[in-house]
Amino acid sequence: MSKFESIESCLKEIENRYTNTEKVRKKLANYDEAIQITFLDTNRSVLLLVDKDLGIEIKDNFGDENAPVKIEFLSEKVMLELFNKELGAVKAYSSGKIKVVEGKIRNLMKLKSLMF
Amino acid sequence: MKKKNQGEKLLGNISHHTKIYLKIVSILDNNENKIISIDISSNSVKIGLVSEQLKLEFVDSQNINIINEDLDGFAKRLDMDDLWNKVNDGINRILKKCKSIVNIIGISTCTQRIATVFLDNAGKVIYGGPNTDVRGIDSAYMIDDEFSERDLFEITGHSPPLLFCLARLLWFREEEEETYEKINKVLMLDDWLVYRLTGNYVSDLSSAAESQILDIKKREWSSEIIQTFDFDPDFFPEIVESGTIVGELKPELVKRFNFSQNIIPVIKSGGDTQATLLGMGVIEDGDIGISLGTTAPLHLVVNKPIFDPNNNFWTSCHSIKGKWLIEAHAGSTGAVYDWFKECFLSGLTNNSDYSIEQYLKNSTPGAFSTFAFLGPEKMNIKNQTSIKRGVFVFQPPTMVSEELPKIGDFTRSVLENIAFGIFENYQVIQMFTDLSTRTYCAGGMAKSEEFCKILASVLNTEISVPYTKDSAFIGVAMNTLKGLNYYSDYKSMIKDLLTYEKKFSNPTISDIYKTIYLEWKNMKNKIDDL
Repeated sequence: MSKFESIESCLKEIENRYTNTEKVRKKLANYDEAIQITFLDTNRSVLLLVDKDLGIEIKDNFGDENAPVKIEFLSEKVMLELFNKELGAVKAYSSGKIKVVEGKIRNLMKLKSLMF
Repeated sequence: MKKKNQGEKLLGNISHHTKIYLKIVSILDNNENKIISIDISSNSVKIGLVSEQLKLEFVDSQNINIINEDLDGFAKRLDMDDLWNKVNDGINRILKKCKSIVNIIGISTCTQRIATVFLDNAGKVIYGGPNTDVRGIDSAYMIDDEFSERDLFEITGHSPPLLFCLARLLWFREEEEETYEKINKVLMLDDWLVYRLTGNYVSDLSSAAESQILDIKKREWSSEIIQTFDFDPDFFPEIVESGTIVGELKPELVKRFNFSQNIIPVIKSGGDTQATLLGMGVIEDGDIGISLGTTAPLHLVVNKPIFDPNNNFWTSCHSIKGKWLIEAHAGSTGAVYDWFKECFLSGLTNNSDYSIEQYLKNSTPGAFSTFAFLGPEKMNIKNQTSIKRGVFVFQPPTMVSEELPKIGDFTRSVLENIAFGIFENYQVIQMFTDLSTRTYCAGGMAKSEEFCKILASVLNTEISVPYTKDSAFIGVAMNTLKGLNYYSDYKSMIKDLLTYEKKFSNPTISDIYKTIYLEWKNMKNKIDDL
């Protein structure tokens, strides 16, 4: 049985990783830009607001066109497969299942531990 | 770190026997004097036997094993035992191909750049990572927190950090502390190979330049980077110029390979790309070398370190003293060519290379409005955040179509995509010099007569292609001849020993390609959004 069965559970996991993993917070200590995730199959958007190592806020069904980092998932299933370790991030990325539509690579590198 | 005249120090370590041997080989029958050139490229371990006249006589090639360490596919390892076994097997096989006993006057090596090896204090490998290991994605933030992108680029000439040795070292310190504590030496892959052959720890500028720990201007390990991250300075081996004798082949290896002489000098070469450039004769300011391997880096030789103001195009050290390189990279050219052969042609023909030549001869520029977008393009690794989709654009069958593209057109479109990708980088790299440039190319795809013609016309220039296209072997052998004092400089060696075929641009076709390139580029701008 898959551990993550809904996008909500994945988002909860992102919050857990941030809250409970010191290394993740350390990586994001200088990061305070909004990240918008969009699922192209459902047109659902999620906004992650990281405030350095002080906290994270996750807004489901919420978008920000001005977010400096924008990541598109081909479908919600892709995120579930990633979180359930059924799909590798590099494979998802190179096969076009995840696409970074906006964002500096320096920032994206910092986000890896939060997302994948 | 102590500054030493490292070349002199190492030469001082060479045994009395080696010095006598160097004198003896110079009076032996030249016809039997050979060099063993070892090249560990991105895909294979290749051993070449090269005569002292720089004729490549035998080649042995075996694929290398790369191990994925995680599901994500970021962390990769080389199977180092397998690699070493293949080096040994390859040497044995080429020696068996020789009908008579040969005098091996020296061994030299080059390897894929960026690949890194960490050793413990017993010299045992605790990590060997290929140029595709991007585990540094997890640790690069530490570099970003300490150095601005520009400051780091002006020290190292390379970006982004996730690719290089510096980020890998930090990754082990962060993620595998126990392993990090065991690290005694940090070597580039070629340094490791030299260590296995001689037992000596030594690096060279062409290898060290691809670590992101070398100060490119000072041509020494960066004390600023080492101090900032509190690395043990003893991690990093002494650096010599390529073409320096760095030791003798270990006695047990002399015995294993059943060499006729006891003393075999080992000469440092370094990065495979720099060796390829040397083997093309690309050593003077204004020379541009296009290495047509799995990927296609383009290098411009300059006489001082110049740094791209946008931190995109890399600055490296050449294997020639006092020369630097500006690098632009067209991406996976040879890989695309091989993929196309395997996927589209292997079922149609037993000799795809020959078929490709025929298809190119029988098709016309523009490939009947067939366009390929398979990766080769202007270098933009620094800002690359997405892997673009591969696309063919072509005229499909319709009710009104009288003619349709054929396999030859698709083949041509792939080769034109590769040529256009090279062209975009060629244009940019020329902007780093005021000199008039001379263009060279070598590598596997340079063996295609028809592709070289396309490339010359797309670039609208004359291209010099060395007689031996496997130029890395030749460059490595040239370093050997330099190290053994057969020649005092590379320039005279090139004049005496390298021969070229010239590929000329056809002005009419070149004009046609200017238009076709613009069509391709316009279409690409749309396709990149897919």
